[in-house]
Amino acid sequence: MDRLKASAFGLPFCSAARGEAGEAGIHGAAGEGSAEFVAAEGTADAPRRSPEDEELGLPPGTEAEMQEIDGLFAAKVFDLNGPVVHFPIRHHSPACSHHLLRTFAAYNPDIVLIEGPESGNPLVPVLADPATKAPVSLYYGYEDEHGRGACYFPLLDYSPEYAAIREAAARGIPARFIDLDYRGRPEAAEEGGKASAQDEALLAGSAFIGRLCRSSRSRSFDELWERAFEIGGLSRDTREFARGVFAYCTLSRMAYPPERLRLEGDLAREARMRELIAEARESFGRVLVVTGGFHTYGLVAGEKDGGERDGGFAAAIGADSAASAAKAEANDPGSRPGTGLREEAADAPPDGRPTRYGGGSGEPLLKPIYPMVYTFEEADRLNGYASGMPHVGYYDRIWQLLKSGETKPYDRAGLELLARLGRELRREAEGVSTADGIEAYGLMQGLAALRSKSQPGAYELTDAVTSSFVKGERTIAADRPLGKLLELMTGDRIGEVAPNEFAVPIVEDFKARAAACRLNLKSTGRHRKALEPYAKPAHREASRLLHCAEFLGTEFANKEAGPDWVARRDMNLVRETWTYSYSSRTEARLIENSIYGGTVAQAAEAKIAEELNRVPEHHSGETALWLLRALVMGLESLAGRLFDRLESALRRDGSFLSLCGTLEQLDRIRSHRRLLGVSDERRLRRLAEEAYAAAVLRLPGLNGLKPDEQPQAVEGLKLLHMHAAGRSGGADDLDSAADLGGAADLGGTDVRGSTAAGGGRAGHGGAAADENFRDRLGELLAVRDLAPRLEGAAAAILVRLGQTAPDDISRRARAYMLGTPDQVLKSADYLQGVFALARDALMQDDILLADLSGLLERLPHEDFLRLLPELRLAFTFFTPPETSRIAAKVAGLHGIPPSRLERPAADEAARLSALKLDRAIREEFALWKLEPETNTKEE
Amino acid sequence: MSIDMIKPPAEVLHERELTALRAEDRGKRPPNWKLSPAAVRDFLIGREKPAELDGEYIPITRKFYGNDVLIERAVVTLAGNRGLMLVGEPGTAKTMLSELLAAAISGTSTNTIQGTAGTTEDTIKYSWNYAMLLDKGPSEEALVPSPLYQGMKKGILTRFEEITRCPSEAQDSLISIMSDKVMNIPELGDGVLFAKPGFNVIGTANIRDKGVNEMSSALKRRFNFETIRPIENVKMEAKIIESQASNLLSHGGIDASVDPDVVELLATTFIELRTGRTREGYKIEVPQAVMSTAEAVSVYVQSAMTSYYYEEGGLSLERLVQNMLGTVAKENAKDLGALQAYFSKVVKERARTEPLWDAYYKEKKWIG
Repeated sequence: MDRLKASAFGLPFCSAARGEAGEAGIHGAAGEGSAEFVAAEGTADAPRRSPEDEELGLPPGTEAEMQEIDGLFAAKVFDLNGPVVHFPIRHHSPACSHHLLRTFAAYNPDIVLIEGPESGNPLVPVLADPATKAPVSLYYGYEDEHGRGACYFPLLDYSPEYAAIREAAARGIPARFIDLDYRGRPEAAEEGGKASAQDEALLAGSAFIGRLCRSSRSRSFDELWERAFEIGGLSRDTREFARGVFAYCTLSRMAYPPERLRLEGDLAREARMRELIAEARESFGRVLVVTGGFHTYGLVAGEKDGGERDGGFAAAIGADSAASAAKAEANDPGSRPGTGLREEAADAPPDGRPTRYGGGSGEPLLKPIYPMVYTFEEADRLNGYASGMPHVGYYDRIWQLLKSGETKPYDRAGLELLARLGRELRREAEGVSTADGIEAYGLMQGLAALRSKSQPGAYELTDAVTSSFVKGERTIAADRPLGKLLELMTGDRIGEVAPNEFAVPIVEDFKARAAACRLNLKSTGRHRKALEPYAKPAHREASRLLHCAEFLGTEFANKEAGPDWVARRDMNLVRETWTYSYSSRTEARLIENSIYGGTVAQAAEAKIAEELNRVPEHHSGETALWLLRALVMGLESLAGRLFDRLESALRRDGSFLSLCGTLEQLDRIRSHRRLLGVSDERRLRRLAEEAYAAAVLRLPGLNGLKPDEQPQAVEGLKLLHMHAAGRSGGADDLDSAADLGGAADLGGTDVRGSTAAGGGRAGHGGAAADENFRDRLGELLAVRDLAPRLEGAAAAILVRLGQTAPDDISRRARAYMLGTPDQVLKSADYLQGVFALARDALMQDDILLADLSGLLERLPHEDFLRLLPELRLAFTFFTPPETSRIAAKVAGLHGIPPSRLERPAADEAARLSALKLDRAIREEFALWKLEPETNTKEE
Repeated sequence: MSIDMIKPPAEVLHERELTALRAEDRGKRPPNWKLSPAAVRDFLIGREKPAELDGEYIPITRKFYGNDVLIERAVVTLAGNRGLMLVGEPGTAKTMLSELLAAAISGTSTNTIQGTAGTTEDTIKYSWNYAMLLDKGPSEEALVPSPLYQGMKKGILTRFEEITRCPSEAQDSLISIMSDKVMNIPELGDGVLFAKPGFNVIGTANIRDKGVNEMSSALKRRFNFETIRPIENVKMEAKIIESQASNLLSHGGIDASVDPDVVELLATTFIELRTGRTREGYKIEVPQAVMSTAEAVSVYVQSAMTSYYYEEGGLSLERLVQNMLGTVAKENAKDLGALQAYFSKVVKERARTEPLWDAYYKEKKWIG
């Protein structure tokens, strides 16, 4: 028993494995009364051993397994004199990296093979470059029958994989990735969105580990791991450490039947890894293999018989019961295998240059693999998807301390964090004192002692802060210290990739431009930037970049406030406020956009060009909108081409509404031309002129519009009228109208200069166009069955232009109001058209008002109700003072003194007495069993 | 076990477990602690392996259900410089936890200040036997020590129950004692009482209850806070009700076995009315009255007793519903509506498929 105890390497196996026996029927021999193995010794018993050793021991029944594990370990896994040494790891573990480096020194390998995507091999030198700073990742997209996805292979400073790459580079030996790039993962497609695939999903989810957590009083697999390996492993001999990881992972693997491992794709991956290991053995004398501990068994046990039974000895010892399979499923519904890879179902654009990997027909299309930055935040968040360890920043600090030779790194890191937490909280004006820090430090040590850990880890640190920093009841409001601690433990670092040939030009371009705009790409978190694009050229550049980034869907920046050029909202604002945050997601999106071009601007241009392909050639309104967007993004060369296209589209465009849209966008561009950097003002003016002329030409055809397009048409008429009025006023040609719009956009802040620039160029062509406008309007009015709304608008414009007499409006109105009942119902539509353009008609023209009043007097009740909504809408054009004036006029028509208008319609007392009377009568009726004659029923 | 006490203190109730743990415990102990922190934890949350005492195996049972990590933090806090303040809603077993901790650590849970609105500085520190004071003048014999005084003198834990019910002035007399661990007694010539190692204070406080006083920040700083949350797991709640009710009934000399199905029914009702969510996921109205686990225990015990004395039989659902009425309708008559609604929606629905719930539903007549 002693031998077994010592060999079990401080793992609190006992009760967990016994539980397995009971529940899954693996070890039938396990009997009662084996309880003495659990935490049998008191803490004072074994002073020479580290505290983590205390809970060790093995139950009867796992002896056979442990013997096989031991045998395998000595012979095949960690034979330092053999041709291959396997070093089992957990991804992102400082302790594994620590012992891995020692293994390098002891074994002195000729090559190191790493569990990582095979096609990432060309990138190894980039990763090994001293200028590359973690966290970084390898990134590639793929496409298979389930759609598109993307994989990340994140590397932190303390990831054993990365430590191996760097150590290999330092020793001048090759380092190679040996895993499959891609593994089919049906669940990922079903779940949609971002899916993770980290090695530990199966490891952490196994029933074995679950019981282990309970028996060791650990709240999670991560705590269990930290206790047994991260903290406990530091004081151990490397061989023992590796043996522990191997045993742990292998026993955990036993909880799964081989079928499940096959379905998850683990077996296929292990077969490939074995192949590549064998290949390396042919040319290298000493091969060091670094893979997740979960796979080590598959690699060494599978060797013997060609992978037939590499499901693990779960099969060999008959553990493949339905019960255990069901249990594994139940415990871990979302688990899947992987190699430190994070998967993402990205909506990647079709890649122009896919490389086919493998060759089988079912194989996915793989896209090129790139080195890419990564962030602590993402590496930690990953944990939410069951992969990697949490508290990335904290463990990174542990690793730094370990490398510097610190013997108690956890103590030290905890202390540093407590000091920093106190400082940060005081900065946030939380009432935190040094005494709280001292108390927390004491608690941390006390908890570590209570939990038999030689140093306080992440869980003791968070517990200590919970107890000593949170004052009063724990509520969301009081939880700030804990939240801040977790933030600090995550860290905000963003990595850097050394300059390299694989670098994607668009990413480099983006970084260079962002640096020029002084955007912070070095730390995570939402950064805020306020821009004044009108005032500062540098800000204009930044605004253009951010607009590009937004358009390219990089998830980089968000406009919090500022003018919205497309939706035409908040156009009076001169400042823009953006929040942004750089991450590997942004880089991934940029890489996906790289098929559009080598720079951000090129990509945006190509993407707009693609969008424009969907816009019909003759659709000038859409084209003008894209022109505006291109200008906002600062895409000048595209803008030049768009001008050409717009010009030809204008000539072909037959749609009044589209033309009006073009005119409006052109006005907008003109009034903001300094900001948008449009130098060729003449062209702008010419185009606007053309749009105006073309729109005017289409006026007679307006009646063909659908009813729901009519309000838009009225708006178009208004715009044209504004331009025409500008001409006939003689002040300027198009400028005054454009500037009118511009001034409205800017709330009158700027851009008055253009008036001066265009002043005095009163056009003789302008007058002609003006005349044309009147003629066309006249034609429109002559159309039979013209929609009343358009008739109203057109008539109002002509009156305002002085073409027709003012009474034309009331004359036409009378035709409706005194017409057949059908016509009467259209009068509200007509009035809406009139009021949209010339609401003063009602103020000046008493006849119109009198007619309207007369109409309302004689209109039957039901028709009135039908007319009312539209009529109300028509009167919304008026301001409240105007409404009062109209009311006064109406009162005058009926000889009612204006003072009566202020009075309530009926005296309250009179109403009350009437009500009372009514009730009394009803009661009397009821008494006599008489039904009062009311028409309530019909209603 | 003696039956002379209505409710024996924790150290009496669990005497054998404590003795056995003490006998086997070889862990490092803070000065004057009767058990090592690890053994204290095991005493509170139980463990698989029984303790051995005189050749007999004594099972170490779980006494506190809920957050185990919280227990570890509480134990370590008590070994340190600050006091432990247990806060939370009424009926979340704060007092029980404080008793168990004191019994395990100091061997006594009765060294307790029972805080009320009438608590003064004298009751917290010390007062005088006035006959002796007049006779002999200020002397140690004439001094009447408070539990806090006793705790400091003997190096044991002092429990301070319902600290927020005391006036703020009285609460504040703790501040300097907690930080300096010294009590000045100016009436005695060189009267200074230094706290012996092992002394600390466990406070319990309701923060959101009616009629409580806010604690000063200075006092808060001298305590580590642990918030105890109500249980939201039916099985766990049922287990607590079962174990506590059977304990109370056997102490009351009532020979009635506890029916686990009825207990689960009761636990379900209480949890659902407390959280406002049914197990099917529907939202329901929450009564203002405190629907704590402690109340559930009292409803059960009361019902069992009524059935035992008046019906000479097992607990009937009729009695259960009658007693529940008293608990729910404590604060506000409107609360009765919440219970009525619960019966006519949730219970009625379940009555269709589950016979026990059907029997339960038949007793709706008592609610009206």
